[in-house]
Amino acid sequence: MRSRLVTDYRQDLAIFKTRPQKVIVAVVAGLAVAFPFVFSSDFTPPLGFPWRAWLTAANLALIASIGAAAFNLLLGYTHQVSVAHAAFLMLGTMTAGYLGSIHHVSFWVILPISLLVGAVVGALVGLPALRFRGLYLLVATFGVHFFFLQVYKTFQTSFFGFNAIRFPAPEVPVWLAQLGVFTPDAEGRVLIQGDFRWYWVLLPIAVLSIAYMSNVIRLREGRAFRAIAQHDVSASLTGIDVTATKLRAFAISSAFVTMSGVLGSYYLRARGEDSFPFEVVLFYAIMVIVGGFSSTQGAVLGALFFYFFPTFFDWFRSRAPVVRDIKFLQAYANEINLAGFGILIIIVLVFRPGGLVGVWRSLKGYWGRWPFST
Amino acid sequence: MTDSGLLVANLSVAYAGSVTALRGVSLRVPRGSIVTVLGANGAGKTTLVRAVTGLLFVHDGKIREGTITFNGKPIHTASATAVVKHGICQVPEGRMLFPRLTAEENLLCGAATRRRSPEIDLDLERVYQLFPVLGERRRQPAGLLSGGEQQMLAVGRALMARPRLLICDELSLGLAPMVVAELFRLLRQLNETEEMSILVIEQNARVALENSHYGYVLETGQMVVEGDSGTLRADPHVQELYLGGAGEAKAAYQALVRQYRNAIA
Repeated sequence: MRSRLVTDYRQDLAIFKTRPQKVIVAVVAGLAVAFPFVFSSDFTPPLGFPWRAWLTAANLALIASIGAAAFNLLLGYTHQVSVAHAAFLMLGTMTAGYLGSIHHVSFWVILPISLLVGAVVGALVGLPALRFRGLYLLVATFGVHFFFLQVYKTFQTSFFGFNAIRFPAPEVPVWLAQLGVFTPDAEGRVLIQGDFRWYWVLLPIAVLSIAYMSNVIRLREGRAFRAIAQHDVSASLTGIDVTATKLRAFAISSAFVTMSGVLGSYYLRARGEDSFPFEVVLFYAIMVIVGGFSSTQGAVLGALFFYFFPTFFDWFRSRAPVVRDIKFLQAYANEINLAGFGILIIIVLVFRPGGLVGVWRSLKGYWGRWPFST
Repeated sequence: MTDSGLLVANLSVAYAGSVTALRGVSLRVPRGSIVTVLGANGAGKTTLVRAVTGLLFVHDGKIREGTITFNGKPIHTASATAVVKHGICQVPEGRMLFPRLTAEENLLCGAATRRRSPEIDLDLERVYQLFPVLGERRRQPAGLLSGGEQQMLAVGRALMARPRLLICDELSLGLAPMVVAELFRLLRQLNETEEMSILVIEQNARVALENSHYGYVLETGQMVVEGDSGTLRADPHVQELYLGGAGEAKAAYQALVRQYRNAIA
């Protein structure tokens, strides 16, 4: 890695500082745009390799990446151990169900409302954090999860009966629909249906949300989060209002988790009470830890990994030559899939404790110092 | 009364409701002066600082009696954050930096009570001028700096709040004599050029008395001696106990203590 010298403040403050960084951003953006075109084509790879399934996985990963980045903001940067993640997904689903399915409010109006609702409820749930730390806070938020589960059951049975809450397909806003690139259906509406259209809805929302969160983390507010995580007494000595800052961290994180709950509800079309098991928070913990703790890029990489790897592994188990002939693997398909995932996570954590981001950084270091690297 | 500085009057502090740490301590830091409080381990120096900066709650301490005012305003009931807003900032004992934030981020945390403004950038520049080595290392995590650099960073972070009173708790802890001398030279410079009041809590009595105007000696929770720093430095008894001077009888020192107690009683 060559040392980087700057000659003015603008260079020093730039977000993308070096040419390779700019190139990488451009390449990632290019890939993100090309991705849905490639994976919605009718191409059929040999050996039954999945093709369109990648687009579904990408959509789920986009939704999860918002939740993972929000989870990371709270756990990775502020070190507040909250396990009420699924509670806020439920809150998002309830907000969407009440406003969207019952009162027919537009999907585009529900999104900002869910951010607000999530922020307010998040600040309330954050109140125990002012008293508790670490494991004690975990137990307090554990209670929050089950409280919300009860609320959700009552909500669902009183408004929707015992079946799942169903969500209508959102419509493309009128001004966009009139651009002429979409073909309206028989009733003249343009519905967001299918993985290809959803991808274009989810990608900008995810990019904006994550850009917002990484800006929060990078600037004054995020410095306060990290200061509290590292030394809360010292943070109060420098004049950081620890109480207000913790609550803000909860509010911001919960707002985005709630919004990702809305997105997930509309994308999956139906949500029941069994859609929100307590394990959900573990899935997000896996994304954050495998991706790279305390790194927003890591949260995104972790979310991609979480949905891409099982897609790949399922194919590998059922279709790859030799492996597909092992009867044992096929007889216990689901268990093997889970075990494979678990083993891979252990491998990543043992050899690269920094997660996927750590892998990326060490590669960068290796090539940057070549031929002197070891 | 508006710029009377820090006034601690008859302060008593107890921990966990029963353990008395300070008993009737009074202290004054007039505006624009450097005042030092000396004392051995367990004398109550840190408790005194925590009472002023609103940190007693950390170890379940409470002010039993007495008042603390800064420029006429009572601050003994204020939170730590509010105290900073009143213009009192502390360089905490043991530095208490944010080890994984960079040096510059640590400094910016120090400006947490101030609205975002170009002045903060100027202050950042000023800290880098005072401590050029911090400028060189501003992108490095604070935990990787050397002990002296970390103490400079802790001072710099406190300065970022633009304090009117700077409290330095055990500034010399674990530092080479040369670094200590340099830090104290800087404190005097800040005191002279910006009229910043400074309260120095020290075990290193020699350095503290050489660099201050007025001194107090705290012993098992009570003030036992006070006086001009020059007088205290020349005092054979203070020399004996705190400056490592030789040959003077302890009894004479105790007589001095008795005399003082009678005077303030």
